[in-house]
Amino acid sequence: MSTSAPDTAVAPDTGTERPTTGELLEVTDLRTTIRTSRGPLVAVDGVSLRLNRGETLGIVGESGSGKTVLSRSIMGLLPGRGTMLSGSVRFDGQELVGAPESLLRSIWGPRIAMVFQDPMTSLNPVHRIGRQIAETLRLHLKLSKKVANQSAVTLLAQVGIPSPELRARNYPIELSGGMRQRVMIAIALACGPELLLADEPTTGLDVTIQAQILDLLAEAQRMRHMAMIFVTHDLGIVATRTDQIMVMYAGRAVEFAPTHQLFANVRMPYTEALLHSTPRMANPSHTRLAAIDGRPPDLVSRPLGCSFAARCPYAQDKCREESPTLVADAAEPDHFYACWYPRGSSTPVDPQGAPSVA
Amino acid sequence: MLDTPVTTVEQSVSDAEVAAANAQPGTVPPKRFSFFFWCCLGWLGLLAIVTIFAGMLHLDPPNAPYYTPIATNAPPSFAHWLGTDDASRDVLSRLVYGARVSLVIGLFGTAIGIGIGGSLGMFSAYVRGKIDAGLSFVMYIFLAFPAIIAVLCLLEFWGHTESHIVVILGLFSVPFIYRVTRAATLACATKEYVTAARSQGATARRVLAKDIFPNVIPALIAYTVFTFGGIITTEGALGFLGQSVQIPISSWGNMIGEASGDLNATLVFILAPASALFLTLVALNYAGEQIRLRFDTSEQKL
Repeated sequence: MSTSAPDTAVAPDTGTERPTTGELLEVTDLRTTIRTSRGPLVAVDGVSLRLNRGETLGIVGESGSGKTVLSRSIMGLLPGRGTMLSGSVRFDGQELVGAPESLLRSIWGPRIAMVFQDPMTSLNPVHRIGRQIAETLRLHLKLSKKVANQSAVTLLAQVGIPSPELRARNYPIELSGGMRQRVMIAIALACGPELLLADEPTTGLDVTIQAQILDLLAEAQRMRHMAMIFVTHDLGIVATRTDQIMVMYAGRAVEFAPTHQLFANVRMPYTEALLHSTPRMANPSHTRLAAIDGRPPDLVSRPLGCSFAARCPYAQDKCREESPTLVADAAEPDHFYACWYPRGSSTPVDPQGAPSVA
Repeated sequence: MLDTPVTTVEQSVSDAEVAAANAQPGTVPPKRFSFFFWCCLGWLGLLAIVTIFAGMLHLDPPNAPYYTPIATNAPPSFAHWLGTDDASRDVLSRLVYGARVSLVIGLFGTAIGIGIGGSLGMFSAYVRGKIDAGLSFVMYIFLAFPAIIAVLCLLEFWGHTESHIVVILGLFSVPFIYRVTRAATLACATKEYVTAARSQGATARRVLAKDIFPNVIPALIAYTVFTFGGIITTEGALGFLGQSVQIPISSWGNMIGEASGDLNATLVFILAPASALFLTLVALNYAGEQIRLRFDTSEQKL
């Protein structure tokens, strides 16, 4: 164990001069178009959102709904070729869409950081983990090699890795998945970001480790007044850990509400279907898990009308002809949904316990 | 969880225990290189020493006939360990100086090939798009060309000097190395850790140098050795055809070629350079493969 003072060595600007409240991120009509051999694919289609400092936004949707592309688009982290970004992302007053790569690079790491989905592939196999953490510190905070290495050990301790000095000398291959995800979080937290994008950070981990990693993220967020965007396909995970939830389907936001309002009053049938496809302890054994039939639409040739119409049990003719826009709920002005025939307030769903739907 | 870990004696003890426990079950004990590997390395080392210090070995001059006493096609003796050839030149001396030619051509040719092919391959795979398509097209044209014929023509045109042979053989190894490096880089560039490095604000140059290059090295090492062997072999073939360095300068290839006229008289004159060539290639390939396996930190190993 080193006796280095961790709080001075790591993230020197955390919580000092930085404001801890106020708006941090404003995304307006963000659209990501990927050029494919079959034509342009609109992976994110006109998404708008706001996020205050210290708050957490959950983005939920099934595979291929555009959640990952959205989180990377917010950051501007896209493969340059064949991907077009339009709309606006204002981060702390600064426009990121169309910003030069050099500006983005100065923001990536110290101000916005990302935790990736698969800890098995997101660490470089040929470098020791201590070095991988130190690398970021040296790049942005211009720390000396020695100080950066000490800070890396401290960060490893902070993310709950036992005997961090020994582990810092390990290669990623020598660590378990949960440990690697802790290392990824340490790398993301290294420069004290104001916004953390967590892209399904627990999908590749088993359930007990999932809870540990989620607690770790929540703890880090609380200590650092960090805003977080949490991308997942699991509504159960976001239910207790977010302030707002955006449900995405086919690249669009279909329901967007403060977390308690969303679960108290589900309006969009897709959200309802997602909730019903979550396994529940209260169900008898061998209950067949409700799945959503069909697949998300082809985003190259999007069908007319509501994207979810083909899979929606409540779809009517209007749904197949006209595309619904995101509108505010009459009773709850913070609650937005895109549906012609929203579910009434008669179907509240408790995300944790048994469904109260008959 | 985010509190500073308290430094205590117990903790450092338990750290050691954890390390000891971790070392036992899962981890593979560090592999030791086999005896044969060290033999290969020994042979290559011997070759290197002999070729570098050939001038100090008090050998007979390799290119001048050894006239006193005149001994054409003399069998091995204490004066001439491998005998003398049809022009009364000391075969051992020619073998040593021939190694110099072969190894120098192999070494510098490989350096040219790896330098150009490796950097082009990495660059091409990282930028992709039209540049990649164009470069790859040119390389495939090179590959489609029967190399030995092109080399023969070019040498005939330019003259058979050592430096020309180095440049031409080096250039003709470029497409192979380009292809291997490009494939390895492509496999690497789509990995999550490259995106992760970018997401931490690393520049393209930094990503290439620190994240991709180290992962391409294992493939490159194996191919370097392979190329080295390939160039030596090609030089041998050229020498055999009399198209490498010109007699009286010796190379292993032209020694075999010269001695192949009369096998009855000169079997040892063929066996000596041929076995030197053979041993060198075996040593290179085996040692290269072992080194590659040793430094292969990829997941597939587990």
